[in-house]
Amino acid sequence: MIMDPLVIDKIAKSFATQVAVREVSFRVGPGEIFALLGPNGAGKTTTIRMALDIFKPDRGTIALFGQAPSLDTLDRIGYLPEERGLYRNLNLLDCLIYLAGLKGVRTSEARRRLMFWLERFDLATHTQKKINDLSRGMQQKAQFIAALIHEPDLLIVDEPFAALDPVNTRLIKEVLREFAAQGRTVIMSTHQMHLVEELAERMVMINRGEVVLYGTVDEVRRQFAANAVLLDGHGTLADLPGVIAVEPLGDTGRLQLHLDETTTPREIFQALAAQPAYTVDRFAVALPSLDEIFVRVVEGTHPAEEVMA
Amino acid sequence: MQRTFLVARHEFRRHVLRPSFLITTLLFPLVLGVVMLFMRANATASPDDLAALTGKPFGYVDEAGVFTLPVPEALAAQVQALPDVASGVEAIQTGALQGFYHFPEDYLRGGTVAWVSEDMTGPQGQALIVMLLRASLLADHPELVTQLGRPLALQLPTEDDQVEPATAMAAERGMLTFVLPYAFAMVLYITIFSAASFLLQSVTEEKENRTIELVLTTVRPLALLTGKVLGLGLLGFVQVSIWLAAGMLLLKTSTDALEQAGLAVSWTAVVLALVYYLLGYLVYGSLLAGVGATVTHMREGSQLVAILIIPCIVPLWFMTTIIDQPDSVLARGLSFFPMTAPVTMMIRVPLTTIPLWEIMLSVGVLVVSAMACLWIAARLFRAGTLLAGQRLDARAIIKSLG
Repeated sequence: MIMDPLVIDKIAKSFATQVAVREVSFRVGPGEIFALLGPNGAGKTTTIRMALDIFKPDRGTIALFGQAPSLDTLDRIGYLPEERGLYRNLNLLDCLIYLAGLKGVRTSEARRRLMFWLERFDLATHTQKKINDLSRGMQQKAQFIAALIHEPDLLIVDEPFAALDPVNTRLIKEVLREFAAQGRTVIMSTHQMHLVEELAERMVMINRGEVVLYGTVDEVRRQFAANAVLLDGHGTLADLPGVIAVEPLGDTGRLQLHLDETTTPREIFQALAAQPAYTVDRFAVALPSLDEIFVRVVEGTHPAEEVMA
Repeated sequence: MQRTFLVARHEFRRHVLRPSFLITTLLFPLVLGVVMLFMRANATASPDDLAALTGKPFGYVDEAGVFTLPVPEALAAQVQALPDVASGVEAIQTGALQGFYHFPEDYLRGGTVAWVSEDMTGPQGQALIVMLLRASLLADHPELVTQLGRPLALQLPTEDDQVEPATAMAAERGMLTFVLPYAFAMVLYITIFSAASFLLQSVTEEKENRTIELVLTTVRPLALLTGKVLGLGLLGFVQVSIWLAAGMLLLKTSTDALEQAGLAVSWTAVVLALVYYLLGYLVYGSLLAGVGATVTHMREGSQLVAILIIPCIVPLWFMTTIIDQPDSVLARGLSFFPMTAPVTMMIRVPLTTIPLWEIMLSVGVLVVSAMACLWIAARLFRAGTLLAGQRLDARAIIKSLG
């Protein structure tokens, strides 16, 4: 049986004056892209650092690949920290070779792999430049290479898309998908919700040191679905029973139908099919974007207790 | 272990290729060589030879009758006894003499001597004339002449109440006894602190450039710090070895002068110097690693470093005492205190035979304290770094050690 790469069970961590993590539990399965979400200061980075054994939790347990964190398990992890940093006075190649070496990759092997990655990330012509002389985007890509050069089984990336242009964002997305397709696991912390929707299968959201949302991205969006459907079509729409309001969405001709509490989307779908004057092109349950969910949860419009999975 | 080595190699390589390192390492022997040449030139230009340098002898006119002994034959080319002032003046005018000392009749009462010469260089061969004068005045007590030339040799009681002439040996060795350990101590300081400041820089570097999180997920703090201390220690070791080798070569070329001064540096002393250098470096290096661990930026560390330098300087305050009594309680005590031991031992080694147990004890103390410092530094490093830029206060430091 393949062990879950990361299982976090009821961990808590306080610093001198504040509680950083109150109680957080979640599990990350093998081969998935998992999103770790939350507002600034929610305790995400602290959670990641505990998972990486940079500091110990005050309470609770962490299992990496089924065992307590140790140097051996840490070698199977790649990490892109939120606070980026490389040895500024070294040239790119030496810096990456050294970091790979610290992860146990021999110099010759590191060189071979770096040839590939530097080429792919369009850095091959900059290998002799000092890190300091690289642009922020380049440094970011270099750091990304440092995180995966030892071919880790678990890649933890904190804001992997910060400072990247759309071309590079796409590149990183590709790499993350390939990575997961190889059966490796990605934990991604980001504020770019559309990328989470695009990439991640499962997610956890932390707010004020506690888990407020946890599950597959679809599940979470369904939980937050208002009783409404989206409708594309043409013709004349007659009154439908159970619809409280019809709201046109922009100039697209798309409509959002708000339903009363007793009516389900399925009933509306059947009622629509019975209307000969209106042809349905597209019918969908109106799911809020993660972005909306994020804002609603953080602003407290949706009390945490109700949404706990 | 492998990663410790990797870190060490990385740190060594990075610094050894720095131009500043290469320049200091090569420049120092060069400067030393120039200084030695200068010293040698000075040594050969002793009063006896000064006259020879100008090519002309000088004379003296003895109206007081104090020069009872004739001028030794060996010095005849440099000093001449003149019958009277007039013949002296004539000799100067003909260019046979560069000048003469005129001892008037009342010399023994008044003590005034006149230098008569045409040129402006001033009295020549003073030391020589004083020597001749003393030899004549004390013609009946030749042993007193030697005694007069010696510095005061105090007799000091040792701890077991035996009275021994403590300074006799040191006194005969003269100035170089003082200069060599002093130079040695200085080299030790310079290298310890140049290597150690590299270390401080290197320990704070990962915090400043924020590589630390990445590094800590691959290397344990103790392994990281040990690697840094070893790598940079090796760097200092290479540097000091080059300096010592250069120093030894220079000494060899001027052995004569040194042997005259009664001082030869043995290879045992050189080996001990390297051992103490390494240990001294390890102790200070690990202390500075601890400093680096508690501060976020290099510049915050410099004040603490200044405090650490003080115990390193203590042996120099007591230098005279240690040289006078290399086996005293003070000298021994300082040899067993980790922060003063290396320099104290280096002052003592050329002067006295230190019992093996003392060397082993002080080496042991140094090793243990270096390891303890490193361990503490690693704990502090973890605490200091991980509070993400939070400053460490005393409570946090104590807590991190628990």
